[in-house]
Amino acid sequence: MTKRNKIIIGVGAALICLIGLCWLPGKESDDNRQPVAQVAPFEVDGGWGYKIILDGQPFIYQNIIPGVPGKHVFKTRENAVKVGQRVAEKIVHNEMPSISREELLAMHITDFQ
Amino acid sequence: MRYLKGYCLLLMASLAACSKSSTSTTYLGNWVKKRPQYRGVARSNAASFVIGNKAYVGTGYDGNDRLKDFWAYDVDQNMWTNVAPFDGPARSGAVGMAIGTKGYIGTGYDGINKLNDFYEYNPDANAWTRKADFGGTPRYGAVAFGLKDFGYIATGYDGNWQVDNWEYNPATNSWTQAQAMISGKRQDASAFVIGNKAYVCMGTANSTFITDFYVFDGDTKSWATLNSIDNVSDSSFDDSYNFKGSGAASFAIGGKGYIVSGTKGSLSSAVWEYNPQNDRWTQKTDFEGAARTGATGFNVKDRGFVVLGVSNNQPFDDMLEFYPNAEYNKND
Repeated sequence: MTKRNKIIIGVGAALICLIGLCWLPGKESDDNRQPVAQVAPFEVDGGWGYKIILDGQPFIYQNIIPGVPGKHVFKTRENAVKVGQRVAEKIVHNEMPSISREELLAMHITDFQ
Repeated sequence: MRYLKGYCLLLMASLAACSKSSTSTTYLGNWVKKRPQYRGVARSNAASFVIGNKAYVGTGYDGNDRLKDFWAYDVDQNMWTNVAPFDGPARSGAVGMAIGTKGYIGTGYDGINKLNDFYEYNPDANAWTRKADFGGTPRYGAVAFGLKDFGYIATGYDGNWQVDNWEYNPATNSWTQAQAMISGKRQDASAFVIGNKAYVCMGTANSTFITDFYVFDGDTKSWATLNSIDNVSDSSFDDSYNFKGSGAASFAIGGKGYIVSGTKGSLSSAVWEYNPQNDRWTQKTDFEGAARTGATGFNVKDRGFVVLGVSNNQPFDDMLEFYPNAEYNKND
């Protein structure tokens, strides 16, 4: 095999690989991007709730305290923001954005008791 | 140079082999990704029910743990609310249905045991109450549907594949064995409700996909056999039927039923529409999300959605809405 033939084979193989790569299904580029989550507290039923705005769009609407039975509202704006921020942190870290009773108590949120 | 000519031919041949989409058939229907997309609620084999303008989705398996959190999706607001967690043990492969203004979740698998417990969710109180245990054997991979004032749990896997059907009466909090599905023991089947009838198809047993297709009439409380979902008849109508599989998502809108994705040996993106008027299936635009199994389908206010599911151990959280009569647009 001559040197020229080797070069041709090499270039041909590289072209085929390149084309193959271009043909792979494009993985969504924003898959592993860190989302931007903001907390927007609002007044509801004599207390407070929060929205989580994800990448500029409302995503979670929490007019009741999450993670516990019953329709309770946060007694203060601060409490709503505190729990909302915890949810936003979870979203930014790609964790499950659910809140449990234990987590509420750990944050000294007892508005539902 | 004659070698170069050879390589050029080889290159062209490989290009031709790669260009697959230009000759494929296009089908009617458009999938629209709901924004924002977020992977945090990702899970498979969740359970769900629909009350009013909200779909309630919860439990399931995230690849490490079985879950008990529950979320309400408001289709008008396109927003989720974290509601009271499921009151029973965390589980996957449970089933859910709505009866009147309340939701019900039962059966499933907690990672060790097959389950037969059964719970009611009251959205007005945002509270769960344990109800009478499911009347059949503990199981997972069943189907459930609500028809008028009753709920039903049928088929599933209890160590063996089942074909039985149980009716729950919320007025008396009791289970009665209803007429069993005619044949076709299975798990991970798909069910959708049109009018006062529940259609049950797909599913697997003994490593074989089940092709029998039945409808349960909530008025006569009896099953009838429909045309098989495989190419088994001498007529031509079923020549293209190639969608037998399991773990597909399902919903019904506009008086038609839809079967989406699932596994057919390998994962499939295929979507098929069932018309109960003539007992015929039509292929629609492929699911635009990644092909998956264990996804959740639901219909709210005559709009159809597919959420969650898993592929190659990667649980999904994305949500897509299907417009069956729209032209396909890949950019929405």
